[in-house]
Amino acid sequence: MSAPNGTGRSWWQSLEEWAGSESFAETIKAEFPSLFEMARVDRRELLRVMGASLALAGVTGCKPAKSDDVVPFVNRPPGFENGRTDHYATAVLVDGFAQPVLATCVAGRPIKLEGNPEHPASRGATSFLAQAALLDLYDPDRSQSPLLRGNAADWGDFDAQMQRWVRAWKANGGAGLRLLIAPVTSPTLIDQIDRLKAALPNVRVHLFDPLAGYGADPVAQAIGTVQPLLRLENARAVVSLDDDFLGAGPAQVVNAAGWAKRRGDSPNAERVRLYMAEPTPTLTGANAQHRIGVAPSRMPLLAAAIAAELGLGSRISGLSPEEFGWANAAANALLSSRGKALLTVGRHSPPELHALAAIANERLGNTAVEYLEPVALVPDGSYLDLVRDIEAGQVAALFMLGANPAYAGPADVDFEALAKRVPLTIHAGLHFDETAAVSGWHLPLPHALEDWSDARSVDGVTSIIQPVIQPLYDTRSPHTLLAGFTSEGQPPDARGIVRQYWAGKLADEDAWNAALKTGFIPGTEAKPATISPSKMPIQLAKPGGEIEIVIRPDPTIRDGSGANNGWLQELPKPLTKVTWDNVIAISPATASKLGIGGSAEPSSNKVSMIEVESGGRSVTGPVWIMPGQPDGVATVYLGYGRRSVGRVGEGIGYDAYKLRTAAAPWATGGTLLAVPGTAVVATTQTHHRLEGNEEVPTVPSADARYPAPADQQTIYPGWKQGELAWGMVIDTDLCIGCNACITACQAENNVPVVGKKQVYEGREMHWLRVSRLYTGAPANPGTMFQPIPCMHCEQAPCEMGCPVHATVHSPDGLNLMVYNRCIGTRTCSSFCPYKVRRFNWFDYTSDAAPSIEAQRNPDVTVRGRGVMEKCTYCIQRIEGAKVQADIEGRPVRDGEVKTACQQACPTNAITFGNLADAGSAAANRRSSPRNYSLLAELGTRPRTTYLARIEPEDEA
Amino acid sequence: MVERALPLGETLHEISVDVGRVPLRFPAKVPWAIAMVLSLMLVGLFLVSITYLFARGVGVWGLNIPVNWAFAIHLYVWWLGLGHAGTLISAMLLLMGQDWRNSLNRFAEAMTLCAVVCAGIEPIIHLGRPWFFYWMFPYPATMGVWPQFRSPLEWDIWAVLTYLTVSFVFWYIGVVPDLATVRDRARKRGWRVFFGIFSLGWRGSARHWDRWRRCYRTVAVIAVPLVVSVHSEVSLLFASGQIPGWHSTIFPPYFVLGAAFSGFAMVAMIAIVMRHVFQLGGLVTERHLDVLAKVLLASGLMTAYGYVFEIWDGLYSGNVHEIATIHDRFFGIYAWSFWGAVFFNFLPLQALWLRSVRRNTMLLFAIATSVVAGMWMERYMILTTSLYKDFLPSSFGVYHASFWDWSTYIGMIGVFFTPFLLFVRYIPSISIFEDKEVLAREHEEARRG
Amino acid sequence: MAEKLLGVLAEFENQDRLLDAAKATRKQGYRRLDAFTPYPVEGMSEVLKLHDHRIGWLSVIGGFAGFFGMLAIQLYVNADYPLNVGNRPILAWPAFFVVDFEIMILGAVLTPVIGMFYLNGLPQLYHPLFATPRFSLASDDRFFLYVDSADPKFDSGKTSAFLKSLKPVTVEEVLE
Repeated sequence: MSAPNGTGRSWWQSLEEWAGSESFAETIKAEFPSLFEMARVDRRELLRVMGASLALAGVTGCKPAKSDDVVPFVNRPPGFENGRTDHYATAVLVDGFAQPVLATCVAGRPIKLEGNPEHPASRGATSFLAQAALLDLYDPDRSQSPLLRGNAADWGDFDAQMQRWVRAWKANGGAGLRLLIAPVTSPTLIDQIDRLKAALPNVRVHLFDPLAGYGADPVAQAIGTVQPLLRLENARAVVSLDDDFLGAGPAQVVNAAGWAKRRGDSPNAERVRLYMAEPTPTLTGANAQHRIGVAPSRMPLLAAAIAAELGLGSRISGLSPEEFGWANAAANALLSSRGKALLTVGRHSPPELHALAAIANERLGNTAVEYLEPVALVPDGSYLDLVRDIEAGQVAALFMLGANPAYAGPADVDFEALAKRVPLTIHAGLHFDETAAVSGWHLPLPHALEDWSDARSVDGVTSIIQPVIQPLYDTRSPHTLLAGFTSEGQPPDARGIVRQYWAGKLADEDAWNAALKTGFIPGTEAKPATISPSKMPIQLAKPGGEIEIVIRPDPTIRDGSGANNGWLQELPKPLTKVTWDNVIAISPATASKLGIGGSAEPSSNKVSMIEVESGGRSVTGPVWIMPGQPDGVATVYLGYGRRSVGRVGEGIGYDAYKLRTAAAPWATGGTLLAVPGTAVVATTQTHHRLEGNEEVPTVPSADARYPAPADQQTIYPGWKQGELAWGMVIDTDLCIGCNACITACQAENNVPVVGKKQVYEGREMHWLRVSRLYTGAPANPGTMFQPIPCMHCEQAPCEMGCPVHATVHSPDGLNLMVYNRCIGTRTCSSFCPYKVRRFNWFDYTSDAAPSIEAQRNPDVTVRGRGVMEKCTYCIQRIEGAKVQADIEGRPVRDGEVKTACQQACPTNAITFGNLADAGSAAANRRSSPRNYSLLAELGTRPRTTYLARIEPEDEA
Repeated sequence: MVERALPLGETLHEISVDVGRVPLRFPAKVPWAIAMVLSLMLVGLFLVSITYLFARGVGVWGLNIPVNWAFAIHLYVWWLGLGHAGTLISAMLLLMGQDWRNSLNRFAEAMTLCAVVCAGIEPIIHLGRPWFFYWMFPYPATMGVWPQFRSPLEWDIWAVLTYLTVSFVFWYIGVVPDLATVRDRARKRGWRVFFGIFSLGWRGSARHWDRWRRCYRTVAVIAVPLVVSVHSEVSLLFASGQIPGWHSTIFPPYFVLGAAFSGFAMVAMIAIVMRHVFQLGGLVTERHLDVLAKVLLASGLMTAYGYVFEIWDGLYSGNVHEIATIHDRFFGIYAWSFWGAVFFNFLPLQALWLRSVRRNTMLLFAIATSVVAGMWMERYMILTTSLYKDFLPSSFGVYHASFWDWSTYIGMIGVFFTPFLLFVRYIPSISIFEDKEVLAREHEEARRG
Repeated sequence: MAEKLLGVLAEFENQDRLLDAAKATRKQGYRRLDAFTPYPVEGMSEVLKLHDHRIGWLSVIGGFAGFFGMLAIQLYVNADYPLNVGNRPILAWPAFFVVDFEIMILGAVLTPVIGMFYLNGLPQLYHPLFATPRFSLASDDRFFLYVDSADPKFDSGKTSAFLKSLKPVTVEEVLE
């Protein structure tokens, strides 16, 4: 279905649109919902979401860390400091890997994290995870003091007991002492562990990483313990077997940056071509030019087929024509771009595929993947080894650092029972979680921004983590805790330990200070490692059961560690746009087989429930008909159904770990059963039939002109444009839909979290939405993303509507929103063709916990009830830059003002600047032949424009 | 033979008695009391609703982005529409010298007053911060900011206020002579004082009548364009936006006609009820109903033309978004409101081609009711179908009326009826002196043969 | 004390007889006449030569005042605090005229109404006429002709006699 008038391709957004089916009867039914509507917004929900109104001692009294300890970032990024903000270079952690950031601190409180522009890996960008890490710091539900079997205790008690154990361990060399550790990259911590093992030879360290499975690391099995690092900037042809390298994770920023280097304005001959085979739609698949959705059990077949084409194996049979075609094309693409070819396989894949990939890449003259010496801790054993040992009664003491096996463990391991068999269990974590509940001791850990440590980014570059706020609670750093295992008497504090470790590595005090200032230590990149891939036979195994079940981390809260983070919960999942829930994804065909009609009912997001059963265990959740999902495959998402984490994360969604076995953590077989009842699912992109009137322009190449409609003429003379004309250009060819911009905006602009009910009502407050668009048949659609902030129209319809001058135009071309003048007629939003305005239907802000208030940006008004709000182009940053420029008696420099969304974007899809200055980056991009305005025919003259997506004709 | 507006049987005195007794010796005490109690209960519901509304915020309604206008605004249009008939009947027919007007205009005007009051309340309670509604007026504010006179909302405020004032004045100068009549009939001292004060000491002097008449006609002359302008402006509240389904030049006439249409229906309903309850069959004759029904039919057909043209307008534009909106109106999830409007507004109406139906109070009442309901749906349809899917699919969203939407609306019905009931109870509900005038003229004609 | 005679009041039972009587009385040279009727009687103004055109003019004046008054306000507020609204000109005449029109109407209605009451000397809750026994019928179904004592030709005896000759229902004297 294509648009009646228009040059671009027509895009659809949901299945009703594509199918064009909408039963009148059910809409009538849906139109008169029962009076349950009455209590639509209950206050408790709101409170819960705002982090509850617990008064928090400690927060209000927080002071900056002692100035002789922490050293401010000297080369301050120009523009956004006006005499009272400090920027400290430090890092937050994702899966133990460093995400280098600059923390903007006001009055001793970090209020925003930006990427460290000098760091070789991130180059100033951040992922949504790094942005959201800030809220974890202020989470009022964080664990605040040590607990002994759930009862309040203090560190004194713990130390006292520790002394006894330490003496005992000294005697027996730590016999029966086991560490279960979530992934860490901290050189200091790893060194401490080594020294601990040296002191107590019988100690063994086990890794607990639900995002990598529970057994031995397949990569290690295949090619040895190395750290693979993609260099996508070197890849012309990429074939990914279920490797979601653009998806959420510690390497997202690095990969996205590499990816972007071969898109956007790069000529077609240089553009990356991605062939993606995946068992369930992912961000990477959405960005692929040649995507195929296949059941997990087919993945080895495809691998074998490619191997055959590459001459790495014998031809195999049993592929469908479609699969064969895809494998063929993929292999040819690899062969035709030797030296710039990359075959990558997901961490979900068995060892033989990793081996195959390594070998294939070698054959193809690999430049696009580096194998580095391990950056993260290399454990003595896996979680399953530990389980075995506990069952064998060999474990006397278990110390769990950031690990939560009671929740995130496999369903066929009853950790609670195991814990009972261990005389001493100590759990250290940020929250009093499911594991803490079954452990003897629970010890609160500090947030990364609260205490000293160090960590390495995916390329191995080491950052010293310096605290930017006094610890909010009575916590103790992992370093101190570990030191406690060997030291009698008071263990040293984290700074001492870290400083001492680096004293040996760094030349002198200056080098240390330099490391603190710049945020990383030069020359700490991980060394290349040699790999020894041994060719293994590819196993073809079809799991039992009539359907295959794919188990994946949730796109936003992942393994569940983000469950209590309101920003993550309300962040729309990139593809489904679902918030506050995990769904069960099945294909349209499978759905109709189960007699589940349509997708969500068009008039509301009430969706039918479905039960997924596997090996006698089952979960029930809302069904989601997922375009691109292979038939006969159901995807369940981890991270929800938390039983103990905090008010935000508890009791929402279903717990997919129930289907996860130690043997098959990623895919299994089972059955689907449609069950009665419906669930309310809050999506930010509701399901509607669409008459094909939605267009997203595409052009065949970077230099091709998009025939954008000319600006409407106006009879009005118009106002004189000052020397500043702010504008934004968004390159839809670079946008990968990762949502970093949304979280960055939320953090910068005090955008409230409103909760599931409000989102369901259509009242989400995000100033920026990332529109997800499909094209083609739902079986395997093309997908693209289009971020939509305020357009700051030069001829703004909204301004005409306001009776009280509450939204007007500034001389530098901003569409201003004057909160304290707004009386809430909402005419502006009614007249806005882009519907980018957001309204405070209730008082969303004043109930926030003190700790949440502590995070707020003092430069941005906290909006009260009954006023309209919207994207301001981060006017506080603009004004800050102007002030700075005035002080220095110069005009504002290009690039001096970065909006929050722009600064976070890993692919630099967003450019902001002064359009009046022809030399500015923004003006430059705006002059691109791909430039177009959204709904130009309305004559609103948007200041935010887009660059058309590039879709070259296939070079088969 | 010519049909008379009033039966010759009546004498001038009988008219004074028939009508004058309504306030003085109220004929239908019990039904009135029941009605009053019900309507006061509704007022109670209204008070509860807006108390909750003011305490929590407009979020208690089902509104969202994109559908951030619904009940309050569509009812504002609806109430105002109901009101217009009062002024139109009075003013237009006065100018056209339509005798039959006299038996209807008084309570039609009163109905206008009550409806305009309701219409005025709606946009104020719909504000996000209603306590600042006065910011819409140009007063020297601390911050030095003034209202924005390019905004259709700003226009509406002035339009509604003007309309409220004018309809009140028009009604009051019309009622003064009758208050005098009742004053002179009143026996109880309390009534004498009451009517004495409000009749301002009217004596029926020829000098006074002369000025009064010039003044009354002047106001009538001005009231007609006022009605047209007021509802045109209401329509601009939508037409000024670029939203598909709103951005059309047909809106002003389309809205004015629809308003008159619903208004006449409302007048017909009330006329029938009052005629029945107060046994005013002698004054509100079948002929009145018949003419009213014809006007209803005529304005209905004009509104139907508006429907047809609006659709044609959208299709002819060739604009993909306009066409999509029309499609949504036909088949979207609010299609019930579109087809409901078409059904209730036009199907039963066709029965009015038959004289027998026009003169059958029961049927006429039913048809009028259906029209009022139909127009309600139409106004709802115009708002929601345009807003819920405008341009960018990523912003599409659905609106459901919440409990508080309904309770506020239903309560508002009480706010309409309470003052109206008071009016029929205490004020001559039919123009006494004008009926006498007509009767006199008819006697005259009768004598001349 | 003796009450002062204000005038004489003659009662007729329909408007025709009243009109005839009025004509006759004017022929007699009486000028200070008035009539009291339950409704405005067709042709009475002509007979009594009462034509007050000021009402119309008041309306015109009020209309103009309203229109230009409001326009002045709009021009002032936009000049006083000029703001860029949707890139539209500061002086948005088409938009301004909408409200100007409304206020014009408001003025054109209020002035004649207020003027009418003022010229009629209303409100005036008491008037000697109300004391005359049968006067209350003036608002019911009787028609009264009134000759004021201030009329140069007025003479209580003669005037009453003359009025009686017009075959009224009653003739009464109106006393203060």
